[in-house]
Amino acid sequence: MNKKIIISILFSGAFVSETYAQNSSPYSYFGIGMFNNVDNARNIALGNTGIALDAPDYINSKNPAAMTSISTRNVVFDISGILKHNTISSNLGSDKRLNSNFTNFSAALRISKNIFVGVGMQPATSSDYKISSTIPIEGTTSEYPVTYEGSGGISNWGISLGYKINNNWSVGGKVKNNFGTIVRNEIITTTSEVEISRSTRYTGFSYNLGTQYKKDFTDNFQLTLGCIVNFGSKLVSKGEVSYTENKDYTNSVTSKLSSKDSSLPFEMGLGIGLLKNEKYRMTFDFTQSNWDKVKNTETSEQYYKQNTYGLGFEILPGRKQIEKISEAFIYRFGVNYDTGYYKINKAKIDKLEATIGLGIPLNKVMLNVGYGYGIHGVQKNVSIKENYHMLNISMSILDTWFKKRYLD
Amino acid sequence: MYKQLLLCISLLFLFSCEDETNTYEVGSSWIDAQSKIVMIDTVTVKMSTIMMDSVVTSGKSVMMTGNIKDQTFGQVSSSSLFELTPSSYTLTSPTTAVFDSIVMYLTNTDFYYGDTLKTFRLNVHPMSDRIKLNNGYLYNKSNFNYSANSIGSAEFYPRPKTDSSYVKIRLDQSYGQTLFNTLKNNDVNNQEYFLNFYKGLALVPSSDNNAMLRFGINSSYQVQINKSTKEKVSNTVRMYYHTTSQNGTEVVKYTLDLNPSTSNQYNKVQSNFTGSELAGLTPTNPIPSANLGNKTYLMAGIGVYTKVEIPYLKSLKNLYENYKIIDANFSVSPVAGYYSNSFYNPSPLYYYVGDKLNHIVSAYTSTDGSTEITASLSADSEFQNEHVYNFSLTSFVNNILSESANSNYNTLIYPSSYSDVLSGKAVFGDQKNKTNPAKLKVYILGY
Repeated sequence: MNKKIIISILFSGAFVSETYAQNSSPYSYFGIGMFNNVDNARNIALGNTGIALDAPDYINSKNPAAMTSISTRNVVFDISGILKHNTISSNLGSDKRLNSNFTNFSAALRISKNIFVGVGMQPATSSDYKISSTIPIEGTTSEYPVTYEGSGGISNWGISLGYKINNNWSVGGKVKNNFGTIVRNEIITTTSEVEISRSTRYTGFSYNLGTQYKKDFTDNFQLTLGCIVNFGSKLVSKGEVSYTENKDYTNSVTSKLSSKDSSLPFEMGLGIGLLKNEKYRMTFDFTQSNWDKVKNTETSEQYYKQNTYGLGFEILPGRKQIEKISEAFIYRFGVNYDTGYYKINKAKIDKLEATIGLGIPLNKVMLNVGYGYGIHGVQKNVSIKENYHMLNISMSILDTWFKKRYLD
Repeated sequence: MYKQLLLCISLLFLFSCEDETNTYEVGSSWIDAQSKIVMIDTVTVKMSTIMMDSVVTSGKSVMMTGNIKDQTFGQVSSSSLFELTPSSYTLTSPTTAVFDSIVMYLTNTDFYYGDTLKTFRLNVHPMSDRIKLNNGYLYNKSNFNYSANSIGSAEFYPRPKTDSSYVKIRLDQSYGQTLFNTLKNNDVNNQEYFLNFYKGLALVPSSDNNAMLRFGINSSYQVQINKSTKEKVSNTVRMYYHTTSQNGTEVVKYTLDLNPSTSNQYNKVQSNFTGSELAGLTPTNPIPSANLGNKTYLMAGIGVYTKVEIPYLKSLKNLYENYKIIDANFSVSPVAGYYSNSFYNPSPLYYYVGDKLNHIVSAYTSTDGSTEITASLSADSEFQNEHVYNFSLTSFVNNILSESANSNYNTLIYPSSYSDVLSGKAVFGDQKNKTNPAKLKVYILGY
């Protein structure tokens, strides 16, 4: 009971405050910020796959249909976090950043034999940068120094619903409310220090559908297929801009910022999962996002269609009798390649990530941890490259509520 | 046990943290700022030469005298008229005192204009009118009569900018004798009484000079007049007399100084533009630069100034939704051929916000709001045609753009400060001048 209270406090805290993740990547300057990896450490460790992964003991936010595999322990709470060490390098030198964040709060509940509901809260994007550069004075050959500073991001909270059509086939859907404020500051050093602060608040709803189909071919071989669709969604933006001279914030001049509404792209993902001898699992995901259709972002980078490929392997304890906790460990490996979706200086900013992970099943708690190494900006002509190490931790707490309502 | 520990670890993630907030440096091609900074130099600037009705020339602690004759300004002449105040109304041992002589000492200030290689001639005339202030001031056009008869004259080579330089003028013996007698007989015992007899002097330049000189009415312009006694004097009229002792053998020498008044004093500056480039310029008839060969003129003392109007300034408001003027700089450069070593460009120039009627509304001040800003001549370049005056118009432009009603304010450029109007002349090019164009550069931030 104590635990329930604690969890309730955590959740209410998360929902009350707009929680933003921090990123400290100069790439978070662009668009609506940089997308955070908000999935469970299991998904991340498997090369960020999960469209065709069932989720009996955690919450797989890749596919709302995945929660239909929740069984007798009919309640799952999920908390995830990340610790990231980022090395940013360019021909102007390199810089190191360390930050940690909460990435996911969610819960799922089986309310009847075939119906499952979930709620979740995620910091979807974050903008957190401090970049110094120069701004040209048009009409002259000179320039002023400028510092760009960003903060904020877009979070979402959502309700998902899963329905188990039969033992092999399930479907799900999710409604998300996206909201958040991104503040972009430009501090230009002219004869005085001029600060232009643009604050844009985004709001909008997005919808997503998913399905999973499972087929056992022999006793030792199971195939899972998954498919998701994220419908493109509008981000209604409302902003204001304020002008401050020499940090004299009492005399700031604030006016309305005419910003056009932005959007999130239409996305489609396919996933394949193979399970052999209930011990070896392989997953593969492919996702395509139509960023080329996205218009009206605050910044002027060029968008193109984004493809993401993920491949993961999982070694499960199998059917053997567990004597020690270490024998129940689940080992994971994965790789993920993301083509990126915007060009900076004509260079595509892609991402390559390799991950390993461990699943530790405890009594009523599933602990997933993972380590990943990634390169952001793999292409040769990328002017800023990021190399990062990350540590992901997800804790899923399993419980049984309303025991008598149904029996499997 | 495990659970509590895990919960604690999870809680840590709730608090987003960063260890470094360093600034990352990137090239300007990586990011395009949403704000734009643009330098605009195509705003039309209308310039004209204006003339004030009159300018205050009293109370400047300066006697300006001389003539300038040139094609530019025609004839400008200045006489200096002042009252004298005796340092005492009584003589030492008046019964035995005998008058010797009376001499005027004039000490130079650093200022000069014109041909100093030529003999400068000036005459001293006694005033026949009392010098009376008009509401506390006297103007370049104020007129008081002086006697047509000169009581002393000097011919000298001007030696400005030399510490030891002074002009000594011996005044008429008869003038001195009468003055001596007045004091000796104790006829006057106060200034007012004294002025009834001696209304002052006028320093009148001879018309064949081509230079303007200034003598200071101020103790800071003291000059040594006697090598053996090392005595120093400033501008003064000095009377020499002596007394003899009872037995008639021992002679004691005395002096009595009569000092020029610092208040009842002014410089009568007259101009005649006939036949010059400024022909036709009157206080009611300003001349646009286009009619003066794309030039504007300034001359202190006679109130000839340059007026700068920016008629379409408000159109800058339409460039960006939100904007701020970061900097507005107006530069003018003296037109070649109008300055030389003898007619040098004044530095600094002064400028004021003026209204439609060319009245000064306010001074240009720095950000503290009180320090008046001026425009110095930047003469770094060895080529004189690259010398410019830079006027900061930032606050002016911001004020005009933010005003709700049209004030029609303009900028008036003075060759000398408002309080010291006697020195300086210059000729500038306007925006269309081929050799020395004026330039207005407005740096605007659009956001």
